Amino acid sequence: MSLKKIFESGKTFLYNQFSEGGGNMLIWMGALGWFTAAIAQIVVLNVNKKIPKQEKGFLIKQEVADGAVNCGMYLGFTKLVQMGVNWGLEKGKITTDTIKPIVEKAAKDKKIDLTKHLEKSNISDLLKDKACDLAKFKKFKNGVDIFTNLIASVIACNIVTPLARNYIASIWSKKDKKNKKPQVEQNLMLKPAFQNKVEFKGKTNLNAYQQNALMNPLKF
Amino acid sequence: MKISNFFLKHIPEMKFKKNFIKKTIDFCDKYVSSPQQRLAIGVTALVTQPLIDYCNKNVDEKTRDISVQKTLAKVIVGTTTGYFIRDLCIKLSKAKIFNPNDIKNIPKNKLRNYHNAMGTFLATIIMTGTNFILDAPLTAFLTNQIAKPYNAIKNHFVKEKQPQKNADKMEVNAQ
Repeated sequence: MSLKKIFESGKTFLYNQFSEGGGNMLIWMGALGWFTAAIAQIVVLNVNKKIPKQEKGFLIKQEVADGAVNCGMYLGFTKLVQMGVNWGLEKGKITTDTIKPIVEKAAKDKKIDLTKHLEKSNISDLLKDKACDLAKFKKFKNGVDIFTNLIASVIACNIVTPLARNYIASIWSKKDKKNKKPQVEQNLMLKPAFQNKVEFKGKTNLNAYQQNALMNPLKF
Repeated sequence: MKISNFFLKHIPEMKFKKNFIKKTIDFCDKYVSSPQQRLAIGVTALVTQPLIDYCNKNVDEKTRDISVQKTLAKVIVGTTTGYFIRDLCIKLSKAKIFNPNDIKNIPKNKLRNYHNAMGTFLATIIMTGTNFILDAPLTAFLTNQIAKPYNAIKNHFVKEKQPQKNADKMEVNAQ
């Protein structure tokens, strides 16, 4: 397959997938954008020498959690909201005082019970013979789709994501600390340091010597 | 009974009557695409995300401060570059090479949606590069730049709080 053919089929794919409405495109492209941004941020954190090592560990974990949660929440939350809103629009549950009369008139013209029709089908199917009315409905549907997507993406990215990523990153860093502790303890020997010549001068006694040794354990 | 039919029966109808909401929906249909979405997310992120990072008690204070500075820098840089690159790419997508094959037979609104999709896709590819070339160094630079004013503001508020605390302690001692 030549490059030109791949390019042409790419254009056709984009047209088929996203020319109907803007909402779907915002969701998928947004998720892709968050993914690439997270990778870049992880790389730059690694490179930044001014951030101390201890904080770097936490920040990188925060960034990984941020990227995964951003993509997951963005896709999951916005797609769920979009599906719910699209269902409401197609079933006539979300409407305006200009769209509702159009739908009712179309049902009347076709001599069908609107409630029964909506149980099995949707508004787009009802208006498919009337291009002008269908265009009006699709315009409204696209507007609502984008509007709700905008609100859903703001909630997903700015409220749910930071809370979730901080929680996940702190769990990771706590686990890290727990894993490191036993290693340090194993290398410590809480015994008095062995010395060949021990002299007791002035107020020094055996208890003070032992206490001093406990304060400065030997490291192996 | 199907689940969807159950919801169809029990969910109340939401009918937009107010002109303001109708105009907002119309505005979204006509003018809102990925650059505007990025701007909306960025502006709200500037308020919410540093606040959430600052209130994260799971980490020590120093890490929390750097986390806030980094988030602020990331949001500012990400929103600025994200908005302009997306906007430029959507304009670029109207070039002949990116047009669909039978452009004459395509309705205006479908063509607009296609250009938005193509532009956003181009921007996503371009931003894979600019994330490293532009965003990453700019975020690092801005994180370090934000540190000074951030610490100054923080110290100012901490100093303001301290005399109050001292005064409270003096009162307790006097009693």
